[in-house]
Amino acid sequence: MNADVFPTNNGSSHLNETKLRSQDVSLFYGKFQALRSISLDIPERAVTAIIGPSGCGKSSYLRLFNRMNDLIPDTRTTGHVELDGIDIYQRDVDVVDVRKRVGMVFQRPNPFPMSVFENVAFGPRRHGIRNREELSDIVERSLRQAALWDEVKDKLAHPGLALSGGQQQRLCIARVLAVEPEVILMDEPCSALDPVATLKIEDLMRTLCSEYTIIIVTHNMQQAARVSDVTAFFMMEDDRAGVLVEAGPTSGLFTNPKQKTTEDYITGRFG
Amino acid sequence: MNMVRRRITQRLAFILLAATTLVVVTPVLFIIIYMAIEGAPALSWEFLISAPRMAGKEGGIFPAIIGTFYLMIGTIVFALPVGVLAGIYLTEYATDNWLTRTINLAILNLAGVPSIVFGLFGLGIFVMLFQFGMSLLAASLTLACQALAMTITTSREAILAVPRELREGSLAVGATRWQTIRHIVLPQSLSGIVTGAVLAMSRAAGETAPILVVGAAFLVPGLPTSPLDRFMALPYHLYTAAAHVPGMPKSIMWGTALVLLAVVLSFNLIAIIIRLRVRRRRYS
Repeated sequence: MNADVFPTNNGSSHLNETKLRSQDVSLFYGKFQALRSISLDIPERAVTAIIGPSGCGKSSYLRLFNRMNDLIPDTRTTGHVELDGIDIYQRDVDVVDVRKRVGMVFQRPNPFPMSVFENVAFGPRRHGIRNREELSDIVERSLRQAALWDEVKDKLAHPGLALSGGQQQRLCIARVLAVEPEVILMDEPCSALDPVATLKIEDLMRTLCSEYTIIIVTHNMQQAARVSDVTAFFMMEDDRAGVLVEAGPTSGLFTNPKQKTTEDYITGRFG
Repeated sequence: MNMVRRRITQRLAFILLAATTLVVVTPVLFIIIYMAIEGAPALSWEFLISAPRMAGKEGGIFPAIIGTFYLMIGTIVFALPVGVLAGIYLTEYATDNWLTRTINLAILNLAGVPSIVFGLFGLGIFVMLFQFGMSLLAASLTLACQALAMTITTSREAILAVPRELREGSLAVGATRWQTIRHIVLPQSLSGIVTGAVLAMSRAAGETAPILVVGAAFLVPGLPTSPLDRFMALPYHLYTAAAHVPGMPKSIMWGTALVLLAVVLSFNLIAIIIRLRVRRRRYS
């Protein structure tokens, strides 16, 4: 499959290059195979949604792209995961650099137990920015980008944990934006949020995808249909290993799925 | 009918639980009250700030208070850094293999080693092999070895209690593992680590057996001026006064015990206050 053929919503007729590519990727937790030979191209500056029933390996797949699975002992990856054509699992690749370029937003908002300001400044500080003015600029820019500035500009010294759930999640997005990543991975970012907060995050994704490559894992098919340009449908096989069933432009996949399983899933016959 | 029975059962369970709690609390209160009554007559400014006279039968216990204080500081200076660093290594870096499992088993056993064995170990290693002699330094190191089991365990538990989500959030913005430990994990586990350390100190303050053989003395002229001096300590003073000095006034024994208890309890209080302050700073 070739991402170049996917028309995307952000720039009507714009055709996007491949940003991330997984080639025949399998993932093992000890003896358990979580993913089986998955090949998928993720287009640049577009939203790619990964859908599928619980336990089909969506999150595990997402966490391949910033090597978050490395944290789990006894994990083994085969195949190639490429960022801009470079295999990020090669030995000479710096995982810290990968994670700086590929940010991640988690299922539950996880602001650090510090002030709003320090939450956003955390990444830049770790990368060596000390200048207070420069940090302030980054914090303001990131919070504006995350559509949170107006709500928190008078509360920068307040603890991040004092914000509402939806605000916390946007704070976490701002925290990722502050290190100027190229890709943002979102692991069911709205599953802990109410519908209004969910809508705000979805709007934000649509805005951000003009500059960033976004991959979102969601079990909410309406959400995938609303926000994504490309959708990939995962399923598990009999041994519970996740496989990619079908991927393509979102509108096509939802209106005219090629596989019977996909159709059954999106019409709500299982999952 | 059933309803009545259930209510009675609930009532009985409640009474049983409350009674058990009372059983736990009563001896503690009783000990404190009894000691306060017996020891109060001996307590005076003089008792606290002057040196013992007449083999401790008169005068005060000031050198023993200072000695115990030095011991606590000495113990924690060695036991806290090692404990925290080992705790970090074991939780954040060590992979689960036979070596790590052996180390964990060793730490568990360290806590179970009788304290006099630590004393003999200290005598062999610090006093004789390292030539520190019978001294404050040798005693501090000996107590530190004993306290390690506690500082490692409490550090490790405090570090493990930091939610995985926070570590992941930090790593996900490109922080290194060490930066994550330094800026997320350690600040988050600080109150647990400090509490463990202060409790280890108050335990060191109460130890008698280990220091018996590595440098504590019943009567030392003057205060220790170097780490290589011998020293007095409250528990050892109490032990000798009670067991080996005929005609020792009871009030002095109880007074010494009361002071020892006050030192230990005030350190526990400090632990609680530090914990509260850290927690308040985090959430306000």
